[in-house]
Amino acid sequence: MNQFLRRVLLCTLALLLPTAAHAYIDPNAGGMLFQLLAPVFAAVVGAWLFLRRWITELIKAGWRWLTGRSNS
Amino acid sequence: MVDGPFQLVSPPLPRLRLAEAFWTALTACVLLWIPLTILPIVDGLLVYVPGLDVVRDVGLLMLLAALPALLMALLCALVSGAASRVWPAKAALIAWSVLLLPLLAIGLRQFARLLWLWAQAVSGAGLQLPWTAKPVAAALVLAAASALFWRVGWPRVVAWVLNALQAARRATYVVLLLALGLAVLHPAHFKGMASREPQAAPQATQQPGILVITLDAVAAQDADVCNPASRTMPRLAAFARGATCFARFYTASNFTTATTSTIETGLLPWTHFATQPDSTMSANSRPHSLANVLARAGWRTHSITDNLLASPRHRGTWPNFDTAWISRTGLAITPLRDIATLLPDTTLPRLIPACFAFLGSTGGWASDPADSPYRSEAVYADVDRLLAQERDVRQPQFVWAHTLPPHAPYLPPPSTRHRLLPAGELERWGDLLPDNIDYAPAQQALVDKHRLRYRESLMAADIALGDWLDRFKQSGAMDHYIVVISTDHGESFSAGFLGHAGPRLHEALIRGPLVVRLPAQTQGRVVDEPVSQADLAPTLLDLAGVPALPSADGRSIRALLEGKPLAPVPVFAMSMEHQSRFQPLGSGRFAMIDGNDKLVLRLGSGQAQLFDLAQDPEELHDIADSMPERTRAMRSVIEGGLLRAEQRRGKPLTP
Repeated sequence: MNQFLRRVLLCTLALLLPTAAHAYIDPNAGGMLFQLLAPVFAAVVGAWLFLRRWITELIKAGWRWLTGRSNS
Repeated sequence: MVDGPFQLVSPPLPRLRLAEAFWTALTACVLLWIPLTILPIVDGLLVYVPGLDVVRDVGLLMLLAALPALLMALLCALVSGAASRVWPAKAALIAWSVLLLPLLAIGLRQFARLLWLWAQAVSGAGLQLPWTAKPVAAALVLAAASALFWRVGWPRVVAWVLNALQAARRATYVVLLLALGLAVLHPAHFKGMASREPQAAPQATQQPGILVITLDAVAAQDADVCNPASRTMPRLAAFARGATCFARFYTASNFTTATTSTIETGLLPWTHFATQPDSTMSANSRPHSLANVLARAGWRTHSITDNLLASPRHRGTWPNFDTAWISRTGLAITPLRDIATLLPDTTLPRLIPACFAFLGSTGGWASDPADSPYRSEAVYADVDRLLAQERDVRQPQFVWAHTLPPHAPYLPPPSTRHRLLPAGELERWGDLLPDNIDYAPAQQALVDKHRLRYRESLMAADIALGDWLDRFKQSGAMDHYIVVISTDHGESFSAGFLGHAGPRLHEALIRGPLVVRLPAQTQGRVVDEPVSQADLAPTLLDLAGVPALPSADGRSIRALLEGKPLAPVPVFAMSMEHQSRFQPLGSGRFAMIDGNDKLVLRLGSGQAQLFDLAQDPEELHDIADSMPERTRAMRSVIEGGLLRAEQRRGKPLTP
């Protein structure tokens, strides 16, 4: 998939608003903890999806460097 | 080297097996769907729930996700079986697609929502998009998805998702094991829906029963109950003519959880701390309960409501009730939420609907969107069922029924619709403004139309109530009960605010009807002195002749019911929605009504406003600067109450 399509997809997904709820909105939602955790979660998921093989290879390489033997 | 997202796995896909499908679906739920749902509300939960409980409840939710995962896996196994007969070459692709594409769509939707909420949070919630943004965005997403599948290929997308989820399965095992361990070490209590059996060989009683009926969101001004010529609630007004009608009844806050907690305990929100819609009462407040005292004195105690926020299952006082029924509604999500209340100490009733928020505001609607899914009659039918069930029980009865109507959505039944607002406007749920919002002065005309539909809803609620009272009277039970009819809070169509909840405390939000009829009472009276919702529990206990609640913020107003004088005292209302129960009192608005004077103190800024309700019932003119002594005196009373509440926090309120 080319870069353009990927960017269009991400931008449009970001526009999907939660529907206005006919109910109580928790006044404390979206607080400081959420503001900190959300990017962390997004980074972990993104890394897992896109860099999984790279991370795995890195860990394996580190293991080999530490132990001097293959872990396969 | 960094892999591209679609270079990981190539088709062919493995044949779908039930176990594989189950663990793949469960991994998506546990590692993506649930965290994406919980993250935006985690701060709100931690305001009133200890962190360990939040972790335990999220773990329970993850364990419960095994059920939908199993259903999805079974469905896909069936699809796989059928496809292998019809189109063997594509069977695996079709079956995995049925499982993974919906999960992918939900995951992307929740992820986009997370991004949007995060952007709003860090930008101070200043982001707004026009109403056209959503259909445009949906069209763009559809186009982008089509392009994605066309360029990359459906099988590769499915294979990529499958590979990513299967590779994360070990993490799912670890998370579920931790969740299971915490659920075992820190178990949640169970409260079934069936009524608790009466005690063996109860004594016959001469004490009257207590019947409390609360209608949700009834503003005093709109109900006009003490006026015999009330246009909106004539049946209740007729009932009030043979009872005591309180013209100035003040609720303790402006939303259900806080106010029903006050009705039950006689405590103000600054003590019971049910100060957010989803919160429970603080642990030390729960035994300080009308139902608890009555139950100890040998009464049967029952709660019936179609609004979970008004249920002891929600407040946390469920052990005090023999019956805690949730009445049927037309909302599809309600049964799921109600099942979650079988574990009433948990936040599952909050978490489960949050997981299905992607269905949107109308997604949970099972019936016609032109009709409200709530019907008062369903609650009254349950009251009839309960009274029939308890007919042979010789213990005195305490029954509290709470109906959501006339609460929004203002979609009254045909019997009263169009009495005030003609047909053609505000006919469907989608036509109505959202609940509990600020509105601009230019929208006042539209809000006035909402008020007309609201008053039609009041009329319908009044008919249902009147019909049930007639049945109750005909049964001969009326004269054996103390009957209380009231509301939890008011409803605003003015001052730039529609609905209830939020920080405001103007009269429309905190004044409602209160009608009390003693057994065999025939002579009616109207009381003009301000009385508080916190007075209800002490009064009922006084009338029942059982020990009083020792730490109540309210007092018995029995004298007023008996036509005797009672020295007036100030009454209080408060909104503390940003106040954590684990932090010192430092935010919120606190109103004190003393005679015709009303002081509103904003705790964060220290600003105090004083209004003369006799001269300025709309609270348009702040006279604090012109009456500094009066302002200072009333302010010191509020600050004294806050200090007392802080001193009592976490300490036992009952012997």
